[in-house]
Amino acid sequence: MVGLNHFLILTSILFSLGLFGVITRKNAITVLMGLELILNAASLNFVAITRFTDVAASGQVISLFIIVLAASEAAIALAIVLNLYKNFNNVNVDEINSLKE
Amino acid sequence: MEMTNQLNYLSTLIPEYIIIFFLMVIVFMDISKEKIAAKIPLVAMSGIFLAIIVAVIFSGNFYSTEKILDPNAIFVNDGFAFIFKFMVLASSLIMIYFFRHDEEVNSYKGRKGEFYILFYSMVLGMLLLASANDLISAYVALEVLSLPSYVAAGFLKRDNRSSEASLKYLLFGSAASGVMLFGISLIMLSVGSTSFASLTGIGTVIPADVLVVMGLLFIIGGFGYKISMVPFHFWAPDVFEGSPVSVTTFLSVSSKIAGVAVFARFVLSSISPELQTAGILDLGMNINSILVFFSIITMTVGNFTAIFQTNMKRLLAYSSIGHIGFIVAALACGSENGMLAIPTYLLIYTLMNFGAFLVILLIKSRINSEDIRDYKGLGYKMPFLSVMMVIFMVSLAGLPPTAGFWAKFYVFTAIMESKLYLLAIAAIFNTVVAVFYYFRILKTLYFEKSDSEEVLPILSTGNKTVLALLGVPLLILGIYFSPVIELARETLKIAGF
Repeated sequence: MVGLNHFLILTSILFSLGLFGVITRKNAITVLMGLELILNAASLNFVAITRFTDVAASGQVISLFIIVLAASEAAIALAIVLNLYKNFNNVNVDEINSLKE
Repeated sequence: MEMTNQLNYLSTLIPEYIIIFFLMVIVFMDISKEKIAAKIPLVAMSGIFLAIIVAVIFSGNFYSTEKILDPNAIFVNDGFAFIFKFMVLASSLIMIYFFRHDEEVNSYKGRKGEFYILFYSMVLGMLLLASANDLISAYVALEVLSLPSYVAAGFLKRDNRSSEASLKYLLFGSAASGVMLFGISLIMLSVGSTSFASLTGIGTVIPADVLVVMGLLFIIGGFGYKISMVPFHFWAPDVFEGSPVSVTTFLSVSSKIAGVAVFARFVLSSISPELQTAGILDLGMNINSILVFFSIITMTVGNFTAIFQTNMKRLLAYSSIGHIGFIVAALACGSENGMLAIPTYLLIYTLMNFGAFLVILLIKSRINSEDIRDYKGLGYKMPFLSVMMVIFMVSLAGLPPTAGFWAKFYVFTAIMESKLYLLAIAAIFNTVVAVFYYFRILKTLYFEKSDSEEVLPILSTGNKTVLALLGVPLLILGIYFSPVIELARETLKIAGF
């Protein structure tokens, strides 16, 4: 029987993988993929919590909000990365460092 | 809920509706003929003005029973929200003046409408943030504010530094808000609701539940990034340096006002009321001691790093981190006096930071540099501008006879009342450090010889008037401060704090 704990373990793994990707990856696109993992982990968490416990808030509605915001965030992020590529000719986060002390 | 109740509830967001309406008007003006599109700044200004008037008119109703009626509402409009909304709207009105004088932004001729659309979306996010009363609505409002901010930071498309600022802001901002969202889900798991009203007391039972601790820390991280609290501040210096000056001003002043509003509401909700009224905190593991810790490192890192900066925008970025340290200190007290100190501090902070950034903007349009070393001898070439700069710097340093002194004074009062002596020592120490680097700028202005003899274009009367409008109140309030504190006390009393 699949319970809440299974979901929580899954989302914790997803979240950790996402955070790990954000911190270690150098390519901006890969970092964005890590961000999506974090958002989806949270989204799954909300739905699972609503399904298995009797909370007042509706996790399904919250996860809809998250999906919309994640989509707009991805659109804006890709536009910014595209513009960055035009200026620097790469999207490597480590090599883009014209702003320094 | 009854029908009247629902209408009553919908009416809490009237200033926001006005902003949304004008946002759409600007979108349509932008896609119509050039003659109409040229009127966008005027329409934008009248939209903000109308929103201020409506916010003030309707504030009377909101004071009444709104909060008591339904503590679970996702948006509330009490006195606490009103005071922050008013500051956000008033600062946005001044921002439009900044945009008109920002040559970097104006050099992209066809994109003026786009800029005002971004600006309006940010204002909308800030207003929503100030009245958010639920973790999810706070998250949505935070994103409504953040998404256009990322684009605005990178508005100078062909400029390498601007696009880099945009990328850094984007990556850091979305990581912070994603982590915060995960924290919200953990809080929902342990508390059973996302409403601020249901958080009562979770800030004080920290050792009990590891989920709550993680959730709280994640959420503090999300809000902390918005107000650039150390250690979530890494984006601030780069973004502030890379963005156009007017966007930097907006991000460092208005967006922080909104961030502080929602952060304060969150912290207050998570402290149990008994602790709040007692005024004396036991410094065990609770949200107050976490905030004391964050406050001390925030001011220390902000002020000590500011010493070594040569770019004015970067210096003000670190100095604003230092100021956020003071605001978090007031918040850490959690007492009535602490609550009083926050809006007061933010009001003065707005005036002096706007002034300092306007001086930087005007100097940049004349000598095309933001480097302090290029400011040599400007005190004699531009006397009025430099005198104003002196007022703003003295006020930022927190010395009498300017209002900056009183802002810090009320924070110290709150700290001493809560008996947080370690925090008080750190704050005094930081004030001394701050005096050092602000006065170094003044030394460059007046006591170093200029390299060039070229005559710089003089200021227009409009520029002088706006500078005086920002600077003179700082001097007047420095001598006669009681009206501000009375006003803040009145507004907060009605809010029930």
